[in-house]
Amino acid sequence: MMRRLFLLIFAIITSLPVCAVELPNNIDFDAVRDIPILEGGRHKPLDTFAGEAMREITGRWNFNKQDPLAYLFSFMISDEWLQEPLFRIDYLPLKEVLGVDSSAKHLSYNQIISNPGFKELIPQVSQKIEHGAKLNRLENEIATLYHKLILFQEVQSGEALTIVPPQGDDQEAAWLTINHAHGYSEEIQQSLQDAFTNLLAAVKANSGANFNNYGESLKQQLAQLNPTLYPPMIDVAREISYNHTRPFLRSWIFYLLSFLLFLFALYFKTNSKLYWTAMAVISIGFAYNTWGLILRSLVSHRPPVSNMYESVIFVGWGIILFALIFEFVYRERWFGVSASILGVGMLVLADILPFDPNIEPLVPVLRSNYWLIIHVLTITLSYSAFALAMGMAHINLGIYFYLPKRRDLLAKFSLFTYRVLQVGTVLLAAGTILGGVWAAESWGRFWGWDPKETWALISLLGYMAILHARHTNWIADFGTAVCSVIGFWLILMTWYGVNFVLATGLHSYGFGSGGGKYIIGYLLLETLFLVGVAYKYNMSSPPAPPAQVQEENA
Amino acid sequence: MTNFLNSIFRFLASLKLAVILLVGFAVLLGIATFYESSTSTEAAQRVIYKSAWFDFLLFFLGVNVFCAAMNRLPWNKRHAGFVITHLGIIIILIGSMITRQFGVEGQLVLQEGQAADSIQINESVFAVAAPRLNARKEFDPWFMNKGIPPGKELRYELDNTGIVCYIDDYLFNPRFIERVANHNPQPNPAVQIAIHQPGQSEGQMKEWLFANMSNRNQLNLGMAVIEFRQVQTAEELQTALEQPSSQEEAGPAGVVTLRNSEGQAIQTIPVKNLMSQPYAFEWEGKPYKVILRDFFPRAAVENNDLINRENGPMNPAIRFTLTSPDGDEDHLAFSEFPDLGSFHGSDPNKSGLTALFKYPKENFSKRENRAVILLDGDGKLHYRAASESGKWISGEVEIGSPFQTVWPAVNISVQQMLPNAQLTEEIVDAGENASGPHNNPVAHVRVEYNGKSVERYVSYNRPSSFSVGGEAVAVELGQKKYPLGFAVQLIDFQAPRYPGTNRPARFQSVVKLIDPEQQVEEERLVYMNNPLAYNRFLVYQSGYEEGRNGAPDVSIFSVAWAPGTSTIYVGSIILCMGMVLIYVTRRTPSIPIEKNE
Repeated sequence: MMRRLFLLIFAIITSLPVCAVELPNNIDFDAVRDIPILEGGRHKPLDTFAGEAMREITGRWNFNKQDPLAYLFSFMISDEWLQEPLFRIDYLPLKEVLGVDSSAKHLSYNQIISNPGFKELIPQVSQKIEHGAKLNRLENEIATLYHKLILFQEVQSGEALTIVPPQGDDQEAAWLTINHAHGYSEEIQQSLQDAFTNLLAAVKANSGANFNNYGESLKQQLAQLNPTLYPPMIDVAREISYNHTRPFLRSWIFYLLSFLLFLFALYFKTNSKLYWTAMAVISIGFAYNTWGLILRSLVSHRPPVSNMYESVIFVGWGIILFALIFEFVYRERWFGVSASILGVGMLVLADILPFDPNIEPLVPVLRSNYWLIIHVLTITLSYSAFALAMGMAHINLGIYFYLPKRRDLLAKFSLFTYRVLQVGTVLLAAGTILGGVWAAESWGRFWGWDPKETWALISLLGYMAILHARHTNWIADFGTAVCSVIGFWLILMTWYGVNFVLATGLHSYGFGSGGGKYIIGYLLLETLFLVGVAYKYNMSSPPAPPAQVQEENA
Repeated sequence: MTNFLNSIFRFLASLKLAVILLVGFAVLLGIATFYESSTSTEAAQRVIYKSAWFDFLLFFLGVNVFCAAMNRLPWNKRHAGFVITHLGIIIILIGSMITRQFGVEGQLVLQEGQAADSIQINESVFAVAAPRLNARKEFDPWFMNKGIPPGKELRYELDNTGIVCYIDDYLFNPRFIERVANHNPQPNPAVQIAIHQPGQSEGQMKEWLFANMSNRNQLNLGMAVIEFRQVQTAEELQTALEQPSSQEEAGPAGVVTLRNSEGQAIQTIPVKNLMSQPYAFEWEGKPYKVILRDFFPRAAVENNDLINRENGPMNPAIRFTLTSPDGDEDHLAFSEFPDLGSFHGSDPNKSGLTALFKYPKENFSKRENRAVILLDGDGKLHYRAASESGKWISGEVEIGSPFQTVWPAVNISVQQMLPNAQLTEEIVDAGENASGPHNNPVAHVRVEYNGKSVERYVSYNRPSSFSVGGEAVAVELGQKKYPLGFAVQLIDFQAPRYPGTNRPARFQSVVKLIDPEQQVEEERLVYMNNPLAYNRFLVYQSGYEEGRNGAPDVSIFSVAWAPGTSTIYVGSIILCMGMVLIYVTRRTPSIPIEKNE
């Protein structure tokens, strides 16, 4: 799993084109980083906008590990970028349409814009969009590429920089650009343009001192134009700190570290210092994770669970939370082992999978922070519990595979898996019911068989079937472990599949496309693993008797 | 017997049945979601979730849960969590049954300014009314679900009126299929043409044109018109095929008809008679005079003035002055828009006369994108095609092979020609799984009264009035209405946006709540997650539509009364408490004491 992951990361990094245009390397861009811009329905610092724009254009947030603002300003001063292979093209039929080699990865603006195949298809696609017709995959890719080109063009011309608040007090009004600051007097418009021209000249001259001076003066001018529409600077500063501290990156590094420490702690059972070090390290990771989620909520003014990216990270957080609680109760290293590696997996997946990490405004249905917190957080926490149960079940099955004689370990794991399942089922039942209450309070019906509702119920029924079957002795401890892994597939379907596979219903908002192949890959690997374990289990005779059921004296 | 009942009870209460039911129900629901994804939410609701067998399945699940709980009698302390959990499930199921049985769920669609005191619910009704006899009756249209067996006729009688309706056919997704056959006793020439346009991969388009049917003799493709016409004489054919000598502009031609205030024609004046001198005539013993002012073959309004636009579309108009004993007045008439104002200018219409201008279609089509297929007296087909830019081509038509047109890459051919075409329309049911558009269901209704009978297809939600034997009978097959007991009026629909974007931040409606009995009349704001609760109903914002002017001003509300909700809440709380209780008290495998290795 890890190896695959690293290969993947490696492949992504090495496929970046080498950049021939020189970036201004003497400028730190801090002077303009916190200039607010109104774009995509919310106020954000220029820093965020540059990152989002770079991510949209090139597909990477940190393109060549450079400051996105350096690219943003460099785009505006140099036409050489038109020749640079910035636009990544993956879809093979699109390459065929463009008539480029299937091994080509990146194309330049000029290459695409002058491409006859592209020119021919664009009017067709835009006509289809205009008529609201459904696009096929190729047309979708073309439309996406076209949007990238337009964004690039707008960045180059400065038309994308809507950093000038309009006059008046209309909160819904669009912001203006430096070159089209309508409504302001000639002098103000002129002085804004002068300030911006100076700024660009400083970039051209690669002069850090000049850039800082002109950047500061531009920032002050903008802030004085219309204070009623300007967002509070504390929000802007907070978002920049969210962008630059990379809390989720830090937290998964600590999780990875704690994973290794927990493994050592398992091996050196008697050394309790090692165990507590591992606990401390995982707690630091957890603290970063928590802090990142809080910052994100403060920036977006809503609980951090309204799109796939956020929910993957939140599930990772929940896994660690439950593991910490269980560790404090049982003092077993195993919760730490499985949770830390699952935490790493979740946080890394959130970055790898093509989920949009941008903070976007909510669709109208979701605009109720109260219910969003109560319903969605409960449900998402249940996913965490089931993920942890899945992790524990894996270790359990691993023991069946490698240490089938260790009855003590097996019995222990059955209990652990069972406990985590209990937490999950209670949360899932409560979360599903709370969703019903939300629906009843705001739509007048408790239950409407919406696909997401239905799949939450299917998951619940599935886990209930496992618990009941365990009670009838239809499945023993081994069966419970296997079922906990399979049960998580139901959760995956509820969590991810309803939006990406079924793509219908009230809940299919805010979740773009993609990542399907990773999920299918996971399911295949998992199936192979289960088949292997089951084969081994049946071979090892005599089959383990059902675990002794005793009254628990806790 | 007791033994038998006992074993049934034990089967119903068994854990194994519970597991089978849980897994079976989960699988069924999984299939249902995929079914919904591949068809539609409505189909899934109708076929699965709202079907009777689904109800039965839920009931059976409830029975299993109930028996399982009863099987543990007498309960002891150990059973507390188990019993409470299962009680919770049963209460939830009872609550949902209450809502299903007694609840009301419907829609309220309001235009700004409009008010309504009833909602449309998701249930159908067949209603027959004779307003003049003050009679109305509603029937249950069970045939919508079960269909009508062939040859059977359903009878619906409006009591004490003698009016009887019969329904012998119901089509869920009707398709109107035209059939053309050559067995008309009257001559009725028709051609079937095939058009293939480049860039449209969907093959060719086929269409029948009928020379003698004024509404079916031409086909408008948007960019061009194709027409089928019959000519009697050789001269007529020649005129039609010949390119007009003056390619530049069609000159003034046609006829102006003056009509009195009753619409009767009092004078017909050929335009060519107006050309050189004023035209004088007498009406009711008084002298009148018409003087031609302007003729516009391609009239267009520019800067509040009428001009002739050189390359504009054909739009013949004529302007003349009518001199009557009461004074002079200017008249303006458009041949394409006869309803557009007849008199023009500042003078009021003193004479009371209006002008109708008819411009010959023949002249008209000469500088249009128009292809004309002509059938001569010998049964031979000819064609001519002209383009706006003045290109002209003509020739003979060979059936089955495309003829040359003046438009590049448009391929037109005549597939067949029938001299005695008979057009019949057949209606078939495409069924619910057919691709293509889903049409409104129709029922074939016959109304009998006073020994007379009228029959017709009646569309769903489209009330239809039958006049039979001197009586107007209103027949409606449509959604049932449910009275609210109060009225809701839409004052304003608003869709505030996220700043600087077109993305709606929320949909909201300002409504006025009117309850005359309680003397309530107040304005409320309704938006998603903020419904209007009044009496037992909850009115919530569920969508909007764009009105005629393109602005979103039609608000769609869902209205619901769910009497089982509080029961469900109680059951939910009990269920969750029970689950926690089980987990706290449940026997679980304890951790064996670790052996030293």
